Amino acid sequence: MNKALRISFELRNTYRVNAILYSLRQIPIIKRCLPEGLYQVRALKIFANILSALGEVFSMFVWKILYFALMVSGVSTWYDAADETQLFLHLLVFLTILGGFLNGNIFMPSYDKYYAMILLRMDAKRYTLVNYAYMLAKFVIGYIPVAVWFGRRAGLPLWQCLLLVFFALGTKLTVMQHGLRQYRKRGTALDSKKDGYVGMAEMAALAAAAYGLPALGILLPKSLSLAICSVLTVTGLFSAWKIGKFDSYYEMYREILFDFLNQTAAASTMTRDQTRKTISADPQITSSRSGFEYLNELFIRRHRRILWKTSVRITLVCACIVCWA
Amino acid sequence: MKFVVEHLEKHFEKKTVLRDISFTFEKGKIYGLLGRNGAGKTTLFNCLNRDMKMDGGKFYFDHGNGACPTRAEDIGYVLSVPTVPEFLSGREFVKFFLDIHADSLPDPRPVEEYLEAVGIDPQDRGKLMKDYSHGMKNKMQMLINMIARPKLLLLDEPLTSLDVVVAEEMKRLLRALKQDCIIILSTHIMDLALDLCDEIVLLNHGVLESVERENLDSCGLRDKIIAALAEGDHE
Repeated sequence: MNKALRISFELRNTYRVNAILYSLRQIPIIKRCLPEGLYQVRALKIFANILSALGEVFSMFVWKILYFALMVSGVSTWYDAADETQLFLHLLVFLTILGGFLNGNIFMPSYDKYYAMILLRMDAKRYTLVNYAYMLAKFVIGYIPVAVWFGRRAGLPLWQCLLLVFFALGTKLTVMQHGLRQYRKRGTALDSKKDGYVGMAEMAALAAAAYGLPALGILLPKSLSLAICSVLTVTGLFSAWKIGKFDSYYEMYREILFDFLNQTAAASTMTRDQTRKTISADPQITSSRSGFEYLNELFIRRHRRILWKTSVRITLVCACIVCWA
Repeated sequence: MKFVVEHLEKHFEKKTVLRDISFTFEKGKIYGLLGRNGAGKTTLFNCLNRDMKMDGGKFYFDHGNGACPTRAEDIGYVLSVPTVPEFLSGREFVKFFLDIHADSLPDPRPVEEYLEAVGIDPQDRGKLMKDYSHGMKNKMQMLINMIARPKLLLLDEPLTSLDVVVAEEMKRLLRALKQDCIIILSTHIMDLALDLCDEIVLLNHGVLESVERENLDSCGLRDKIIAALAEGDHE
């Protein structure tokens, strides 16, 4: 596992660092200052590594601060709740469960996973578990101080603030286990139509419960909120064990990643075809000019739809900015 | 060692693409899977590679002591459109692969030696594979499979879009590889199949049929293949 963790970390880091260096090369002025073989220059790699590490730290804390500030504590000021603590817990319970479904990272296909598991043939189970554990560790490290700070402000004792952290962790694990169980039952990882509708309905209901019920003066009792937190913490422990025992990661990801590649290829073909369709092939579009002017006029007439669309967009944005100013 | 396919079927809704695929492939040979566009060559490979679920049949390795189910590491698949990690350099890609499989490789060599073997120039080895040409990406894909040494290597239209020089290099690599594994390459270019392959297998109307090469000169064999593939046009 240590080796899998090390390689997985190095791979992700190398990929990210190279992407940063590649992005720097796209900036015209900086490009001239960079050496040709920049991906082998140690100083640049160190610089990019520092940027990458800063990005990791940033993502660990900032999103959680924004989440609590905007979606929990910030929103709670809209309601005239008698008990601020009860409102805080109510919002967190529903939003945490909703977040568990929305941030189902493990089932999301990505090129990183394809490269690691399919091209480089890393052991799928080790790769998945190591990356998932890393993601959860990042989550906990970022969540603890933020949950404690906002929770204490809302009047929660410290132990309940920490319970919220394990509740969030347990929810993620429980949802992931649920997904793996669905895969075992159905024999397939994907049922996008069914999952799409069911998933969206569940999420809408949770969002409505989180924000709608307090508007009607209905809040979960504190004891019930804490009970839900405790139950999901315990189910999270059980789920962690089941996740570790699951042994069809390779088959599952094969299916997910194969479909992902096909959909990506189909999407890019569709985009290309749609772009082609907007270019007029009408043979009656012609020009009476000559030389370069002939070519220019023909180009503008045949690409009228593309050119107009871009111009209209730019005009609208400028108009909005001017009106706002 | 043999790779045995028995009664493999694949349907897409009402259309049957693979009807009854049965064949035995032997180690040490390059098989040319010839078929017209839309015959099901890629579908067959996707089924063998388990990227797609079959609707029937089975396949396994036969080492002479009974059927052995295939494992993921037994099968290598080289796609016609090479897919490589774009933000890794060629050197990094090989280094990571060797690192990951350090325990299972019998005779690991230095990274530079592997890159030299497939003809990647020293000045290109440190560049991102995003900037590699189609031929270079193909070579990198092939290199990984050469290092991994799977028992069965599937190549889907392997020399499409490669220039003459790179195509010859790839053929040389394949001929060197075939001793220790079974190679099946799919193509709709007959000249490639006749030049490179030890056996020609036609995929026609959802079934596989071998083409006997004995006692046929090149023209005779070519005509026979065309006649077999064109048969469906008259029905």
